[in-house]
Amino acid sequence: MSELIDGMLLVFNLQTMLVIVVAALFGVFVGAIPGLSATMAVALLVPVTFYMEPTAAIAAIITTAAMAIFAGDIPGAYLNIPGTPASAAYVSDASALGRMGRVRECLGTNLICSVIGGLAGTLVLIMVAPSLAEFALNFSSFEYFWLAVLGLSSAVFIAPGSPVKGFLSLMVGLLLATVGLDMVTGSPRFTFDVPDLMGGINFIPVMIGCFALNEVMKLYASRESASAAAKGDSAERHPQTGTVFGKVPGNLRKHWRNVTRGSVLGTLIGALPGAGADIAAWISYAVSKKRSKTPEAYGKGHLEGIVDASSANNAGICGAWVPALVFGIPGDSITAIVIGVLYMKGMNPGPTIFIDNAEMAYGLFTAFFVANLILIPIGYLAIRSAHIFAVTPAKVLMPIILAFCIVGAFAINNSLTDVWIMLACGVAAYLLASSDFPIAPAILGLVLGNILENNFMTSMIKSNGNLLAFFERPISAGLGALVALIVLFPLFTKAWLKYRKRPALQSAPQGGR
Amino acid sequence: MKDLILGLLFAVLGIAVIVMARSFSTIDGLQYGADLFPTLIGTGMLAGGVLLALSGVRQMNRARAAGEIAAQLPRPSWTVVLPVVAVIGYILLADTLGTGLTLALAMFMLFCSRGVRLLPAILTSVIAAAIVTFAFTRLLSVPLPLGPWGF
Repeated sequence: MSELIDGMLLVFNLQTMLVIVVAALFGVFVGAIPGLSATMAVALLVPVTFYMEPTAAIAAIITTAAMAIFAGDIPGAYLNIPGTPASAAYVSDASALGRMGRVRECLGTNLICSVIGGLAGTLVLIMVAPSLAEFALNFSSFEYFWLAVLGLSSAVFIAPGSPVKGFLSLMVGLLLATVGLDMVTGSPRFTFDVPDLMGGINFIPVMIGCFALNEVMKLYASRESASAAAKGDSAERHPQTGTVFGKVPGNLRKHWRNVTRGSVLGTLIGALPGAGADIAAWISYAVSKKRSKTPEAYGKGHLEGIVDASSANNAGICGAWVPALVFGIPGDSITAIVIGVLYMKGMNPGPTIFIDNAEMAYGLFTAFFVANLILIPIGYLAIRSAHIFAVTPAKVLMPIILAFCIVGAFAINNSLTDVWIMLACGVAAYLLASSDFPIAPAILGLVLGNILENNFMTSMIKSNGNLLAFFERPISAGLGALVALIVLFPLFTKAWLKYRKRPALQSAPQGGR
Repeated sequence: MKDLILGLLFAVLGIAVIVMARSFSTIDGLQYGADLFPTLIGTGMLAGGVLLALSGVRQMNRARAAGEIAAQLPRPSWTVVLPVVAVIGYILLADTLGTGLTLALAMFMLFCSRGVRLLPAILTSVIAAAIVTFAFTRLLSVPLPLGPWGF
């Protein structure tokens, strides 16, 4: 009990609360500006959190992420441009509501759904994580090896896009993770006699390069400015009436099933390694449409899908922390960054986190509640002053972000080598992303590479090279089977699509579509 | 076309990784050493690269059979190199000019290339550089390279 109170005190003090408020404002800003994603917000924040107390640092990250995911809805409703990829699923509905003059109602509902989704995800995290951790105490290197493989393979095979490209992206991440002194033999690998590389590649410059520099380059690669896309018929030209929260209770009462479903689905998808808030939003929007009585209204200004998906993306943010805290396996790219921060702060993720660091774990849970509740006042202010985000063009922001990238990468080790690493990774990420390679598997590979290799080598040495040993313990066999299922997932979907297509093709001539 | 080139590049990188891994040391009495994991990664890269290259070839054949000209992606504007130039410029010049001035110059260049007007460009780059430099050197005490003028 005293640990619970101590943990709460870590959050309820002036300094941490101030950090949370500033982080919320930062999150609103980054999330609401199209082209800047929640992951980028967190990546830019990390060099600053380096100098904070552990709880304040983690609270800042949680708040920024939750806030940015909500704020992504604001330009979606006003300008028909999603602020973050997680808001893309329902942007046509939100902007249609905007054109009807219902922006405030739509965003108010969005905000409350985001808060409910986030709180639901937090409750799941608090209830599931400690018991899962107790169970995970029995895990040996075999189970951890399979967990790491599970995380990596779902990033490659479940995420949309080409699995081959996802796999290659993953290999790049794993290769980067091998740089530095080898754990088993102590010999240097791929260091090219650069002393700064002996300790391995720090993942923060990589992250800044992949998520921030990459975006800056994307803007400078485009021929016309992004704001040109917003020139169409957007909500700004229509008179907006109504209060922000006036119609929310009625909407929630009408769609409470959707809120519940979105929250549950979002948490589950978020907890799945490799799938984050954006996939959670897309899937729950699709499920909502499928189960709705009025699927034809979707995409034309229907609140139902918005309720589902905006609860789901904030729930996904919290769900992703379950595997991150319990196993040290990130659920999405934000928690991949978080795991690095946790290690830096001496709060090593893994099943023992609730025993060794109970106080900090309770502090973290408290921070989740506070972060989600602070969404309400700051989100309200953001909705009322939304026009600020519309007048801040990317061409003014991107150079400033670049300056942050340089200084932030330098600040991690106070060395210019990290700025080179940031540059190289940014350019590589830009080139790969412009050929439709997903970037998240590379980040997961870098973060999980050492866990994967160490547990693999330990297992190999323990079993004397007998690969069958990986399937001898019941849990590890189960996890292995799960990995096999995930690897076969693209085949299943292909078969399913073929099966679905056949009747559709037969009815096509009559359908006349 | 892009897939073919990238696939081949990955295959070559995979071979290079495998070759380099052969020189990593092993401990006597252990069958597996520092080379095992990089060799597996290299093999994965080689296999994935070959698969990607093959699918690239298949795509090109299909496009040719259908008599289509390969879809022309919009070529990126040359300004895409500017952020890269800015970062390299910082790395090379920060020690002599100082972080503040180098950042301001880098941002000014980027503003101008996107058609921000002169006065706002100068003001924004100077103020932003001052804030970033002050915040990191004074508030976070990061030893950023400072020029002869101390900023």
